[in-house]
Amino acid sequence: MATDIEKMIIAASRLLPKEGAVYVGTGMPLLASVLALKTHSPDLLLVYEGGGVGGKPTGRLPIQVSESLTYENGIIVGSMDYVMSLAQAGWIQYGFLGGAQIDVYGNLNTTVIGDWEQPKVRLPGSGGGADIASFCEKNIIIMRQDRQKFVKKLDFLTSPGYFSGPGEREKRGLPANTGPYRVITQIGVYGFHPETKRMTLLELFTGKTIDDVHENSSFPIDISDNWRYVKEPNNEELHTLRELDRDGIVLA
Amino acid sequence: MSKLSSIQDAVQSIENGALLALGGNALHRSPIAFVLELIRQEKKDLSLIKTAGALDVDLLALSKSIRSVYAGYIGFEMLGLAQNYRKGVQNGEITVYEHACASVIAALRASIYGVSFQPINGFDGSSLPELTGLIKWISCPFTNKKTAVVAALKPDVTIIHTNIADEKGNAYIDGSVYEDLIMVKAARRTIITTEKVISSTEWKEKPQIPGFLVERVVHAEKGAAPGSCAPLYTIDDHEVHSYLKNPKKYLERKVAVSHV
Repeated sequence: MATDIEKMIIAASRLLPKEGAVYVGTGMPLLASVLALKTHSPDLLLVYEGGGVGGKPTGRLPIQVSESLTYENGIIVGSMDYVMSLAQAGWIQYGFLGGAQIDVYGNLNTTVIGDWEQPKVRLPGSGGGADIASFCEKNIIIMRQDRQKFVKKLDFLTSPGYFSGPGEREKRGLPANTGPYRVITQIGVYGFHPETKRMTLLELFTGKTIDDVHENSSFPIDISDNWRYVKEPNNEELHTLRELDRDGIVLA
Repeated sequence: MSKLSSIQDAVQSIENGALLALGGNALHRSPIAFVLELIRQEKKDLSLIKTAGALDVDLLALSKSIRSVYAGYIGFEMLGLAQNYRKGVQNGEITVYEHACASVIAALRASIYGVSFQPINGFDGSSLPELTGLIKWISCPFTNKKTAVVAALKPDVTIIHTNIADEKGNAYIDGSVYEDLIMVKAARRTIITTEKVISSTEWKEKPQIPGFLVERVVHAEKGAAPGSCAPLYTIDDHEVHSYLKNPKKYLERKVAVSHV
């Protein structure tokens, strides 16, 4: 049986294209990207914030976006300046994001819980998040879902989603056809409705219910008429994934 | 004249209240030996510039050496939050100048080009500019497009850790250079700590940092530990965890003796 985390990573990996470039963060995004490399996307280009481009890690998993394992077997190793400018110039199609809070339009907060001037919890900050959220065509958000994380109103908008609805990104000057693409939680996979840009359930993990979707969110989530269950992980996916993280750095 | 210096002398040259740029990224090639000496010499009211910081910034937060931080990210990624930095900010002891990594880089780049601000793509709609005032909007004089600009940041001193350096200050970094080269060019002066000192006649690699930009070179083997300095050593998991478990105890142990 696959765990919640394994199911989330496998679902994320299936979203990645055969080729193209993906901005990779540590943890679940890294595992999802390397899994895609080893299964259906051998030509996927992994780009790390720390400067590595095209790395194909073989041994231990990198646990930080700037460690040398991220450029193992890579094409070039540059600087963060170089990699960020790739995103700014529009060369990177897919991005991964996470956050402490998300709202119905996929806007994310990684900066602060509570008031910015007098924070209840000071979080790490944007890092590359604001850039990835601004420029990548398809952003995949992976995070746990509960009522504290799925909020009506963010305490701070670090990384833009669709703001308050359709056309808002473009109005603010962000490139057209960019933004959040999917949200993957332990409950299911969500998309953003093309007309409303509101988070909409597309797929449920087996064993989860529509009630779970609603009970674990402070905002109403629309349910697609055509919602279905996520396809169960197959043996190859599970086996490859577990081999990638034998020490259980992420999976345990 | 040789630029070689002891770590003690190099740190003595830092004034309280200085604006320091620290090289490296997260737990990689950060000038930890230098940071520990800053703490030993009880430097105060420092302001830090960093794209993504971890142990370096958290140690200086723990020792109450920092007044403000200009950074995109401070944390230990999968290992958790930077707890001492977090507390310092929550207590109001540390002022955060809220940035993204890219805007820190742009601010440094402005200094390199000798201009007072730098246009930057993105940030449209994020609260980062509105709330913190570090990013403002201008109308592009050519296209009238609304354009974000970030104010220049000029470090008083940049401190980076390199793999190799010579007595003239020429230095070589293996692997990703992160923001180090930009930080060096942007600064009023630069101090390099290095794993290995060679003579300037011995170079086999091509140094990326020309010595004329460098004021001092400090020989500091394992100067980035317990972080990594590729390909020489990787993260010392045991030491990083011992820090995260009991930061005070770790700091007391490290401050007691300099290994450099």
